[in-house]
Amino acid sequence: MKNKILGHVIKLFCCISWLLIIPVQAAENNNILIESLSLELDLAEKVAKYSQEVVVKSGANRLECDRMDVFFDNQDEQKYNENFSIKKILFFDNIILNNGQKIINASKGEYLADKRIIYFWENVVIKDGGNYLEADKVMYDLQKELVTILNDPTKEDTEKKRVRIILDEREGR
Amino acid sequence: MNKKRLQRLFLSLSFILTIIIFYFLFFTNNRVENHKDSGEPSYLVRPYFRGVAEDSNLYEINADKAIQVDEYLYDIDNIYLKYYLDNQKNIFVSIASNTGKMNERTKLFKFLDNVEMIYSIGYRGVTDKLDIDFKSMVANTSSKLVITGAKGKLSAEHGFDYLIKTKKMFFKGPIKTVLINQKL
Repeated sequence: MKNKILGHVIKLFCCISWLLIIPVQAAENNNILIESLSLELDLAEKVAKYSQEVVVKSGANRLECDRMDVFFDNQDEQKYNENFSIKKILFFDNIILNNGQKIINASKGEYLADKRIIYFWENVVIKDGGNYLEADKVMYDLQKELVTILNDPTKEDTEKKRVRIILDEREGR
Repeated sequence: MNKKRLQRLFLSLSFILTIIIFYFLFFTNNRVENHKDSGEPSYLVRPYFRGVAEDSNLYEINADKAIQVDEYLYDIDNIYLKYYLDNQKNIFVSIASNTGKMNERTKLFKFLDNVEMIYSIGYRGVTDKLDIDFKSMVANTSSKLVITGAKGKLSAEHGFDYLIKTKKMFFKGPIKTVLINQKL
């Protein structure tokens, strides 16, 4: 009898723990964690410049780079907490984006918050399972998890690659 | 109640009122009391200082007690500083600590032991010590600094340098930032 009650108590405890863990994990997924060795915050220009061993974690995405500039959007300084949001992020040097499935390496990147896309250019390499791909420029749609290979408009015509590839991982490739 | 009793009542009431007004005037306008007991260092009870920083913004200091160490230097207990970043918009930073040091000549303030900073736009910072130089307009600490607000948290293991004039903060790491309800 005692063992039966104890068994029920353990089951109940496990259920409660599980229910408590889910919202905590969900809340963590909605946060951005940034680690670095130094940070310059320019309140006038509304930009936070992270440098040295920069690591960004957001949901399943992990991004590393040497330098990162986060531009904030803030309409009213007195209502900083209400209006604060990220406008765009610039990434510099030794960029590695890992979403658990594919790895994107590049030297420069730009994240546009309103579209939730990141442009990567300069020394772009994509590793997706057994696939390996080099490109001038790529656009990564974080919402659709879609990578679009683009030409780099800054390059000379002779240097441009004419091939444009779209990888859709939802297709199971 | 006859006329004479009424007059007496008014007279005593006005006397009491005069005493009350005098008391408040004395203690609000002359909050700094200088104590010079024999052998004991000179100290101020509930001192209130008000100054203008190099950037023309106002700052006010309240404390429980200020011991005068030399002509310009004070050791202060329970110091509270309010510095207006924007006089017009009423945006300010307040700093409180258990103890502090103030140099009236150099305008250098040292906040020691349990320093708490409140930024009126909604942020709170905690550290062990903080220096503010109102001449060069630089605030800095080398102790661990943790800033929290509704939109996130920032911690810098080795403090920061804040150039108040240019509104630039240089945090010394390792640094951890958590931005709440934001995602890539």
